Amino acid sequence: MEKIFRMFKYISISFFLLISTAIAAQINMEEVPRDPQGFTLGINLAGPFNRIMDNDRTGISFLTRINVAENLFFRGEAGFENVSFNQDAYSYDSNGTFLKAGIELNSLSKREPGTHAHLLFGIAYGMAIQEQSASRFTIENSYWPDFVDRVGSHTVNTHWVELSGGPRVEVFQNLYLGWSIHLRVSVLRDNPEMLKPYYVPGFGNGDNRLNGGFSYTIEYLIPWKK
Amino acid sequence: MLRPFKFLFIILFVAMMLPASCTQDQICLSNQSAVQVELVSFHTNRDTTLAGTTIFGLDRSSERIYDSISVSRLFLPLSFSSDTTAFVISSDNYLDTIWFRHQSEMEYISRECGFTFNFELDTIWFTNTFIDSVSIIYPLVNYGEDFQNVQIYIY
Repeated sequence: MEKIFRMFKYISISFFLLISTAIAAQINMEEVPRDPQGFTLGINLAGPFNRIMDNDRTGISFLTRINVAENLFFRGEAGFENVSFNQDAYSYDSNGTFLKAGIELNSLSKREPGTHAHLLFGIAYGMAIQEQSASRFTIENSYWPDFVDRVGSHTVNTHWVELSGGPRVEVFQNLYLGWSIHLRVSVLRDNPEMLKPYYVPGFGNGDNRLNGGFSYTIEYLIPWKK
Repeated sequence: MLRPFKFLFIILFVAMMLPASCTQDQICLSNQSAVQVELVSFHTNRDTTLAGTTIFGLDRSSERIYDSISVSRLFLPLSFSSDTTAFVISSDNYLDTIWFRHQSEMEYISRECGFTFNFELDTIWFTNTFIDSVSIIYPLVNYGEDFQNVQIYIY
């Protein structure tokens, strides 16, 4: 089943890249006035969606995009993710928050009057702080007694660099839907020796230095200049 | 026209949600703390088989690792709570005891599999009923490795 999901993921990504390229190439409209200047307040649905797929995770994040120049956006995001589970090898709890800040460039330079759509490519720096513990872990022995112990609560910091790309479109006035693919590379992690984070908030699988990810965003634009 | 763009965008927005949190499960290995022992004939210097072999941990005679079978290769699990693990080996009413002295170090494997102990064999000593000698070929007993660690030479 998982293979099918993974295959579907790759097909979706390929399809998206194809479509995006085709759309970017085909849109050939007259130049119109700039996008409305302003900032957005939005929500990233990746966290709630992860919760549906995996009951152990609870998280959500909020973002803002600020139109700092023509086709250039500042993107900031802050959120939290808590992870809690009890499996044979260990019981685990983590509470953490993250912050991301970066810039995005819009690669759709032509616009249809009255419509706002963007194909955004960006780079961001992310950092997460989480407090994690394993209230019990068991190392099984096939003959002698098992070893049971715990890892006390401790703080882990993770920093990463993130590349992202994806479209965003105004579906109603000032209301934008967007999704993007992320590629994240961790650049710094402290306190990793005993127990690596199961999930790093905003980053993903704590065992990996390189993670992929998705965002699904709903944003409301608050214009300060037309 | 940007309408097709919007339409495709929304379709893909929903479709992309499906695979978002798929992760690859890792297979966790079990019985990774056993010393692998090869039995060698003292006379011929070749692999040999020990008939009617029963093996249990010292002071745990009721729980047998091998029970009256012919063996040429042994997997002897090391203890997590002690730095010496001892086994009684009996074959056709002959008895020997063998002690493995080891250092152990706990290690995190992965988020799926949790923790393990890796071992390094220091010293082996034994009684001499049918065991002639013992040699350590590879002292490390590590998670995910599959090496023969010890040769026991049988009279």
